[in-house]
Amino acid sequence: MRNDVEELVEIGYRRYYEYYSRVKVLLALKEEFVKHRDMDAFIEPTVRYTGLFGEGRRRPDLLVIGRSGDRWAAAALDHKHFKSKRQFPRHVERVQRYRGMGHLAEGGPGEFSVLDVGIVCPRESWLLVREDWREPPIPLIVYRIEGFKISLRTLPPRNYKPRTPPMRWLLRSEERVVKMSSRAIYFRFLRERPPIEYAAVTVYEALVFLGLNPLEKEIQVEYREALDYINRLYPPWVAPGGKIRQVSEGTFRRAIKVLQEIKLVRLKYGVITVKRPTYGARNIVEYVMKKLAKARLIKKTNTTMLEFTE
Amino acid sequence: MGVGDLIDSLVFAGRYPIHLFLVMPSYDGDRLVEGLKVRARLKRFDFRVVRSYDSGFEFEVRFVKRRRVGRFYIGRGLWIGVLWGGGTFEIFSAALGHFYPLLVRPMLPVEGLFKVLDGVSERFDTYLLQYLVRRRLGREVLKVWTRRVYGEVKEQIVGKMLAERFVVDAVRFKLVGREEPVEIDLRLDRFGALTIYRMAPGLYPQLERHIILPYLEVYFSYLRKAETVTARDGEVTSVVVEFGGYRLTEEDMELLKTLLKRDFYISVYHGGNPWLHVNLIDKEDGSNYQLVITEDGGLIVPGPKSSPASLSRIIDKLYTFTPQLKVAYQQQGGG
Repeated sequence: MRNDVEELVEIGYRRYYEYYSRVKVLLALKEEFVKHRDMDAFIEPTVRYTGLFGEGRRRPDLLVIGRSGDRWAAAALDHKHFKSKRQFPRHVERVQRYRGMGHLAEGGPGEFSVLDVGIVCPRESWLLVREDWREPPIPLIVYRIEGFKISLRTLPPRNYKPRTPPMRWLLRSEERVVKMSSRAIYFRFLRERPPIEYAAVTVYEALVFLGLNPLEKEIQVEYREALDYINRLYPPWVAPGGKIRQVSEGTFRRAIKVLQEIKLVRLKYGVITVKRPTYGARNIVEYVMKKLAKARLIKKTNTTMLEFTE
Repeated sequence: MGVGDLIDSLVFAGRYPIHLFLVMPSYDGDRLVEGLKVRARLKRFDFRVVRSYDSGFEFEVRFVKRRRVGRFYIGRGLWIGVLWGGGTFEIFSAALGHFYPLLVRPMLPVEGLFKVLDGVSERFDTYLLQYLVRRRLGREVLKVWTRRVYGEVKEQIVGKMLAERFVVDAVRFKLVGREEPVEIDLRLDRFGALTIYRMAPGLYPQLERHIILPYLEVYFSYLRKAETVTARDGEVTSVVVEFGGYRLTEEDMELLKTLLKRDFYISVYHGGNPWLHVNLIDKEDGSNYQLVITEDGGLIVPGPKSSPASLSRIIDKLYTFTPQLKVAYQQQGGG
C-alpha cells in the first residue's frame, strides 16, 4: 500500500509540475516578446484559419505576431512534455497544423500568416528524444526553469531559415536566459484545464491564505466570495477580445469537490470550512498529494472488493 | 500613572529586572484587547485584564502554573508593556509570540541594533558588558561577556560576526553620563525588549529619549521600506537579497526550509539543489510570498496578501546564515 501511495504521489507531482512549468514558461516567453521585442503575443488564442492549408479553429499555446514588411507574420509555439520518444513525431505533426493564413477569432491585428511553428519543451523531454532526433524536424526550444530565470536552448533543423520576426529572434542565439517577471506569481491557470492535483493544491493554498483569521480556529470562506476573491487575486489573462478569468467556475468546483473527498474542506450552506495543514506537514503540495493518493487507492480497493463480492 | 512613574516605583522597590516590551498593535482600541483575549484562548493560555486606566491596562498572563502581572501603556501606534521580576521575560515573550499578528514586535536587523548603540554611545560612555549571539543553527545561543568600551569593541564584534557567521541578538551595556550623574545597566534586543538591571530613579525620560525613540526611528525606517513590498495596480515591489560573499550550501537550504516551517506553511516548487523555490503562507496572518534562493542571493516576491511583519520574519531567517545580508527593494511592472 505504501509503495502504491508513493507511486501515485510521484505521478501527481509530475502532473503538477508539468502544468506549473507550462504556465511559467509561456508567460515568460510572452512577456519577453511583448515587452522587449515589440511584438504581439497571446497565450492560447483561438485562431480561425482560412485558405489553402485548411479551415477551422485551432489553439496554439503561444502565438507571436510580428511585422514582416507590410504583412503580419506569426510564429505558433506549443508547449509539450514528452513522456516517451514515440510521442514526439505525433506532437510534431500536430504543431505543423498551425501553419496557414488566419486571424484571431477574438479580434486582434487582422489577418496574418503562421509561417513558423515550434515546440517548447523541458530539458527532460528533450533528453528522451535526443538520441533518435539529433536534428529535429521543426525548431525546438528546450528550457530549464531555475527559480525566476529560465534558460532557453534553441535547436533548429539544419539550414532552417526562420520567416517570422519572433522565430528569427529566438534562433539568433543558441542559448539565452529569460527572466521571469515577479508578476508570474499571479498567473497560475491557463485556459487549458489543469490536472486535478494542480487545481486542488492551488485552490487549497488560496483558501488557506484568504480565510486565515488570527481570531478564529477554523478557516471559513463563503463559496461565491472565495471564487470572486481568487479571481481578483489572480488577475484575468488579457486576450485579444477581452479578459479571460484564470479560475473558471468549473475548475473551482472540481477542486472543491476533490478537497471535500480528501476531507481538507467542508462545504455546507455555501460556506467552505478549510482544515489547516497539520503542523508537521513538510510541504503543502506533498500534503495534498498524499491525501489524494490515499483516497484514490481506497476508492480503487473498495471497487475491487465490491467486484469480488459480486 | 505613566510609564516613568511605574518604573520609578519599581526602581524604588528594587523589583529588578524591569522589562519594557515595545509592540506594534495591528489596530487600536478595545477591539484589540478583546482580540488578545480570544487569541490567548485559542492558544490555550490565560490573558486577563485586571484593571483599566486612561493610559492603558493592567493584565495577568498565565501559562499553566506560571503567572505574571504587568501593565500595558497604550499609545498611538505603539504599546509599551512593563513587567518585572525574574522569569518574566520568557513568559511574556512566549505570550507575545502567540499574540502575533495582533501585536507585532518591532524587529531590527543586526545593523539596526548597532545603529541604535552608535547613537547612544555619542551621548554616554557606553560599556558593553555582554552580547548574546545566535549561531547559524538557529537554536544555538551563546552569551559572550566583555567589559569594554562599546566603540573599541564594536569593530571586533562585527569582524568576528562575519568570520564566524553569528548574529548578535541582544546586548547588555552600561551607560555612564559624561556630564550628569547617570548610570544605567541595560539590556536591549533586536525584538524591541529593553531590560533594566540597575538604574537610579527619574532616569526613564533619558531612556526614552536616547534609546526607545531612536530604536523606533530605526525600526520605522526599515518598516517604511518593507511596506513598499506589495502588489498594487499591476506593479510588484519585491525584495532582492544578497548574501554578501557567503555561498549557501545544500545543508543551509535544508536548514532554511526547517526554519521557515516554524512560521509558514510552505509549498516546495524546487527543493534546494542548486536553488530553493517555495511558496510561503504565514501560519498566523495568511500573508503569502514566493521565495527563490540561490547560493549567493535570492528574491522574495509578495503574493496577493502580504504584511511587513511577516516579511521581516522571512528576512530574519535569512540573517541566520550571514549577518552580511543585503536587502534591496525592487519594483517591477505588470505583465
